[in-house]
Amino acid sequence: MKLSQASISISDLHVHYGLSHVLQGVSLEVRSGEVTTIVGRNGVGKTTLINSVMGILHPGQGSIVLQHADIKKDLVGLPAYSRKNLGIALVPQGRRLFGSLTVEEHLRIVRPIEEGPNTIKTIFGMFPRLYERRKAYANTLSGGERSMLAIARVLVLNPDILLMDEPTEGLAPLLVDQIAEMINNLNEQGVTVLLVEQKLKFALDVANSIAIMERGKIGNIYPREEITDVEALSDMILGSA
Amino acid sequence: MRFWIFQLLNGLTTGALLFFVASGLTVVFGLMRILNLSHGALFLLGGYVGLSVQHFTGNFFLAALAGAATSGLMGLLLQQTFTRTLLGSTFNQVLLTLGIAFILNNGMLAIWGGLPQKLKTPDFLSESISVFGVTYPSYRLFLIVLAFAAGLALWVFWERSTLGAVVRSCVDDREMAAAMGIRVDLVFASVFAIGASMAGLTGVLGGPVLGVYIGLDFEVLLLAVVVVVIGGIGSLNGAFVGSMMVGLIDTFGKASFPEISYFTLFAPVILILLLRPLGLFGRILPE
Repeated sequence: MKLSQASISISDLHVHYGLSHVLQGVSLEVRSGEVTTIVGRNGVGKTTLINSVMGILHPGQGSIVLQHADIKKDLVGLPAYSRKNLGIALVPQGRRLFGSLTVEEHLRIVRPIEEGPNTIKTIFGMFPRLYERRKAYANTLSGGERSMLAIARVLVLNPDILLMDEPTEGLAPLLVDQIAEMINNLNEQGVTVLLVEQKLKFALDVANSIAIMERGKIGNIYPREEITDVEALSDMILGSA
Repeated sequence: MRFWIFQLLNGLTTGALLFFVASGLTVVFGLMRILNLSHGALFLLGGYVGLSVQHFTGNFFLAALAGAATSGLMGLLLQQTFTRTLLGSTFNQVLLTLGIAFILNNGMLAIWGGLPQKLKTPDFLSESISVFGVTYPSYRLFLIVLAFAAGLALWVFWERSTLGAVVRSCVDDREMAAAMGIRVDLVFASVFAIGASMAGLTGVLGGPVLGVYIGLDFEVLLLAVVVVVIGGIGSLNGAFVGSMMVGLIDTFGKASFPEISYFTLFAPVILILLLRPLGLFGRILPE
């Protein structure tokens, strides 16, 4: 069980790509120990938002405040490596593995944020397939193996806040269920999760609250209990457009 | 037959020196996408500093250390001063690093003069020994052995060590490397400085063979760029194979067809690029 729990308050965040105003004042509370899921149509800025929280993109305006048990810090302006040291980790869209590194090297090059339940040994116990393929280069892995490794390399960090951008993209249903179970386990350990997801059933399976994103802004935010099923969520997304 | 063995050893010696220079150039290019055209000037700077240190101390190894350290520090200074420009467009990089190359070149001309000079080989390597029936300077054989040993050491570091994996992760995807907590800026600075110091070290090691003179910087740069293009950008294996190929082709070309030696050097380069546009060991690098 992790002791430190963390939350993030995003306030009036603006991000531009050249002349394109992608995030137009996003505000969102990612509550401690919960799974907050962002859903929405393609191109509304979900990936931009999650990359801004990690520090891969830098907003022109707004704040991203990290609240730990003992610290409160605005992340804007901090480089990505500092944010990792503060307990944040990212499973990016498209996996973005290091093609010239082996599976084992992906786990070896990272330094855990803090002592926690996950080590390289426990990770290999969790993903026996990755252990079998530990000497294989990432660019030779199958789609499922790539997804496992993208998740494994952040779990070994023992993060307090996990950002996940479409972790189920292109995966078979069995693997999607495994990832849902993994997120629920992490959540039970106290890890705060901010998830971007297109698969609505998966989003409902794991979320504590669901935020609907529309054209650069967060629209309504619903507690999971208020959404009856996938159709209802789909109607909410379409209704927000 | 003796002619061919002699030229083979000469080619391997040139290849050995090229490997030391080109390995730094290719890693900096692969890691930071920076085409550093001042690499040849850093090579010559090391050679001149080594020349002066040897003149005052008589010690070749002290000279090599001083040459490597000076070029490494100069490289670090350039990288830290011009990081923003260096990470911009390739056009800016070419203009900037070529400008630096000319400034360093003129500075060295002002300090050390225009006369070609030579470093002395260390005493214990000043004799010649017999190899395959030819008498060959032991210092040149030492360079060949050193290049193979360095190639092996670099390969082990690059492919087998965790630190090597950290550097490779930055080559593959610097944004994700940073997100995994890696100080990409420190990796960049270290690699740039190490690449520059290897160039400086080669300036000293090559001093007894090639000499030290104004103009050698651009001759070496041209050959090193050819090595990087043949071997594939960012590949140490490619730098090793490319260096030995270029060393041998250049030596045999100059010995057999001196009037068309540039043709004999560049014709195989064009052929390789036609067959393998990314070089022998090259791959498409992410932006």
